[in-house]
Amino acid sequence: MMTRTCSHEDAVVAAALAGHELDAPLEAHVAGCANCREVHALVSVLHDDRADTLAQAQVPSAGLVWWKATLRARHEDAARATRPITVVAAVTAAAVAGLLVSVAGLLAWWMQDALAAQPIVQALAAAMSTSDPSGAVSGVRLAVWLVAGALLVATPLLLYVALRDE
Amino acid sequence: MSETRLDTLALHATACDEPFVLREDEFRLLYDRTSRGLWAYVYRLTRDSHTADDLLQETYYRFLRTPATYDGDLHVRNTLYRIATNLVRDRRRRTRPTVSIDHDETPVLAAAHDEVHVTGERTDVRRAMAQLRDRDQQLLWLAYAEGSSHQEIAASLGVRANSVKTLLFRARQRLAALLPRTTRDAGPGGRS
Repeated sequence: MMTRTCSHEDAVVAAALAGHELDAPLEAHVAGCANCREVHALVSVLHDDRADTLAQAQVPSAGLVWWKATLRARHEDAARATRPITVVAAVTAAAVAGLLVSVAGLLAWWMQDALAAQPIVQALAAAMSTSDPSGAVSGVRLAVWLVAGALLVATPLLLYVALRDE
Repeated sequence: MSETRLDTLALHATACDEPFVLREDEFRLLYDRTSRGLWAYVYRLTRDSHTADDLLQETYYRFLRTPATYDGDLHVRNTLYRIATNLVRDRRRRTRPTVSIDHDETPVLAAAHDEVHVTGERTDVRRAMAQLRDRDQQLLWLAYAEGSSHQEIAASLGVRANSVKTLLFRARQRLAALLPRTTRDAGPGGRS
């Protein structure tokens, strides 16, 4: 096994790659130089391997590669072009949601007397405000908080799932 | 594609609102000149023809989509090999290799190789190559199969040109260490 490189190595590699017979001085050198002998053999094997691979290779045609690239480029460009629209739509949706919540709050404030008269609202308010002397949380109160929490978690997730493909 | 044409690639890509840096006719010329060698390189690294097809497609796509200025055919070629090398590396990171080194060919190619590689020594070299780490395989293939210069290898692999000689030497050492003793004594391929 070689332990150093040789100054004739480049010439040996070039000759092997070209498939030429080594000239007499180089052949004499290779016969006595383990490094060059190994390099020459390695180049011969790998160069032949490459030739065999090229001979058997069924490379896709230029037209096919171009066509696939064109389709992909169009798809990516279209996605890039619609990305700002998606962002604007999401911001608009958030703004509308905020507006609706504000309007609902105002309406609730104006209509609080009428709402307070509703039995279901009274029952809900009672359930939310009732405090158990033992410190336990009531079932209705727990359910309301769980629903509110689930909505808080699920809303951004649903928005993400709905918009991710765009 | 002439060097004059290559010199204007960046201008072409930025001045027009085209999706690619080359027109189709220019691409075909480039592809015809470079694709087979590039495919063989990727195939030898991945040992799977379908993967080589995919990576070849991806290599040219990335090349076509990246505006740059090229100093000639060699620069373009080195850029393609650099992209392909990175793609092979990324793919290797994502997926663990599951192909046995004893069955590292597609059936068609394996049959062809069996006919050609009649000597056990050559098969030994191929097996030993397959066991080398990617960087060593890339170095040995570019240097001794493609005949690339140290500068070209450096540009293709993203290493310093003055370290290529040392890296090649170490890669050869590791290859020799993997060869059976009979093959090692005769030299890889047993031709010497």
